[in-house]
Amino acid sequence: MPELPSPVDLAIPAFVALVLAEMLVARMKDRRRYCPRDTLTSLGLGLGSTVAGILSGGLVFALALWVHQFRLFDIGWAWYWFVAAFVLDDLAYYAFHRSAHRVRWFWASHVIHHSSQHYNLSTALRQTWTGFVSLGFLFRLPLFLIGFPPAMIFFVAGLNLVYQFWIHTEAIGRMPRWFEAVMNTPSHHRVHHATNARYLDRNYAGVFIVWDRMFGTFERERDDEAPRYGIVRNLGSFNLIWAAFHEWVGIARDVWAAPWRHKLGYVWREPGWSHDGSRLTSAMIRERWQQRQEKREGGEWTKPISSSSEADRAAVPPPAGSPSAATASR
Amino acid sequence: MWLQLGASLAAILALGGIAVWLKLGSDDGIGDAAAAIATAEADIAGFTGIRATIDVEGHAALVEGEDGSVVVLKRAGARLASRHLPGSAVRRDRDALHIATGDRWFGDVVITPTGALADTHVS
Repeated sequence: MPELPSPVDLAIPAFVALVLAEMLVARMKDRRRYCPRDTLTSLGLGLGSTVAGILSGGLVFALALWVHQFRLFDIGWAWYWFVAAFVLDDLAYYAFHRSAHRVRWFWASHVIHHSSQHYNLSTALRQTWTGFVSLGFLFRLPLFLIGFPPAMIFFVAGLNLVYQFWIHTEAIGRMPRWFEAVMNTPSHHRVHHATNARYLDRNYAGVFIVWDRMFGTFERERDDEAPRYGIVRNLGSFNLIWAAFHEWVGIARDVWAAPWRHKLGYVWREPGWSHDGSRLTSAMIRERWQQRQEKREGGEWTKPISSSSEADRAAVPPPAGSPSAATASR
Repeated sequence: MWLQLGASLAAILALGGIAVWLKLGSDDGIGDAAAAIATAEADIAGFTGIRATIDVEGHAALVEGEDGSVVVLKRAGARLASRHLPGSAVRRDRDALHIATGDRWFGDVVITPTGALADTHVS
């Protein structure tokens, strides 16, 4: 077995240099692209994620080796197996990433990466502390079962992560058309980080945007709709610990308060789901946005949106189905 | 490993310091009432704002919705964060609006309006 380097470790000096270069560009073009407190939070979360990875990495690798002994094929170390591993690992990443937005347990870990209201290279380094707890590594296990050596998969996964760094920027507009068609790009990934109803839960790709095109989750960035970054319910805080754990706390509170038969729903259903319909999922947000668009196009948007709009000014926003409800958890 | 972590921490602090030195970020206020309403409507699906009260320093605003609920906006670094709340979350005294968000980390918000407080319709 060859000794493979860690692509991420090797890339760290380049990450630092490129963040610095992007800051200089921001100073010249638009200072609002960076915010010192946000940058410190992102980089602090990135450092914490590195520590968490060191603590859990041995266990994940041991699990991969254990699964690998049941492999279907003996895959060697020829260069073309690296290519195949890279492509299949990216498909596994797509499945993981889509689940990370559609299952609250996985989202609780992944939300950290989306919790910045900025979109710059420091956002790329804002990574989870709880990846091991959320079991995200399970999505790569089929690759070991097929027969890819664990060291090869972790190597190409590192390359995948390094690729994803440069797409977290507003400094690059669009890449050439052929590149945008195949690869994940800053434009595609800006859509992914946006909370605009049109853009919510789209473009899950890691390296190859073709997965989104194939599985119907692709959305093009529009020139007439700038992305608004962050999460549906932005934190309004730069506290590192809260950023790292807030959704886990939310799950615990919801499970505690929910009726018994609905408790698990707050773990495995999509973010924003609630047993009483009092919150909004991304699908519900998109539906309301579409309704509003239709009303505006019909010239009716200035009318009250519900016959009960003025019923109780002091009431808690009513549940889903009523246009005034908006206690979304994300 | 310790060397790598130490170097990473040093790089983080250096980049944070450089961001301050370059004066990155923004001190822009929320803007006018129309801007506050537009932000609230963009943040909260289905919310229709009818009136906004802007804090005298421009760092917070309260947007009243046509359904009686409110959206409070506050500056979070160079961006705005919002909370959608029932109208009952707002308490007014002679000089200011006090909004209890119920979110410890977001914090409660006090808005001292630029104009007369009587202009607002919240309780």
